[in-house]
Amino acid sequence: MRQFKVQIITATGIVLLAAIVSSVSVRPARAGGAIGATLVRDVENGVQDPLQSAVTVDLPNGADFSEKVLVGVPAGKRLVIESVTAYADLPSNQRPFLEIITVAGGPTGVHELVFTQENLVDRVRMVAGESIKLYADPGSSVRAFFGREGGDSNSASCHVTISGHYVTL
Amino acid sequence: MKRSRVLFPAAAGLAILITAISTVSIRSARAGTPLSSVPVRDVESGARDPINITGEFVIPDGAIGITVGFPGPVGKLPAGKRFVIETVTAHADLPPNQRPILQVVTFDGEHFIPFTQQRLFDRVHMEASRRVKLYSASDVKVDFAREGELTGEARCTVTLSGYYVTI
Repeated sequence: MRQFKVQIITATGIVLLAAIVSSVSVRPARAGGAIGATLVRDVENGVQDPLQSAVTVDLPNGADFSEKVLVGVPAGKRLVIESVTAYADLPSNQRPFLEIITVAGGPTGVHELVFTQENLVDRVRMVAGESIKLYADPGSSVRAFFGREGGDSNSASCHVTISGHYVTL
Repeated sequence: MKRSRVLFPAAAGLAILITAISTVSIRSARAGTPLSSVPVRDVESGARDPINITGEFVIPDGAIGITVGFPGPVGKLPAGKRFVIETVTAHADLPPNQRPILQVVTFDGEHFIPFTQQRLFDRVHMEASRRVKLYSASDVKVDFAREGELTGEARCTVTLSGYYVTI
């Protein structure tokens, strides 16, 4: 009889433990049962053919502006640019401007970026970061045009990075 | 009977150990296994029929603002298409102590685009860059105006980036 009592207590303990473990463990979402739907996969989703490209545009002493090609778009593809970030480093009292130049649907577009002042201790350091949506035609080039105002003495530079994806046409 | 007294706690201990290990051990990702699916392609994706439209505005000396229809000089929006604007960027150049105001006007209303002050050396230079989602079935109007004094010329270059969708 005593042994039976011990077994009952042990069994109750195991049941309680199992209940606690199942309560805190991973379980399906609580949104309810799945609704019948056709499962689809977007073959042009950005993760299928992503692109990232970066350049540094340097301005030597005496130069006001310069540009560099960020990427050449392959034939048969269209580039979708989704993010642009930039870091500009200039001598004191100068200010940067940056344009991303694309050709989409024929016309050329000049897209200005907004810089935010980060550091003005010994030099001017400004950063730009934009979530955008720009397109570049097949066979065209995406260019970064970097310039400065407030003087052209000493060297300045701007590091530009774009992120996006290709779509096969 | 003595044997069963030993076996029962041993079995209980084993069950607890297995439960603990399975709880803390590595398990498959929560996203689940890949599902079989139908490949699709969005025929109205912006990558199909994109368009850039750039315009330059000049407010003459003494005037407060100017309104221009886009595409304007470039041409009309194609018939049977809707223009989806996704990004607006602009550069404004004004005389000292003036500030720009920019609006993109579509059939559903006026959309203000905020400028950020960039350089104030001899003139006022401000930039705007905004991701938007605006729709238009006819020419888009862009209003560029200034606050402060009305002396001197003020300029603004505006670029609308987006795509056409066939209705």
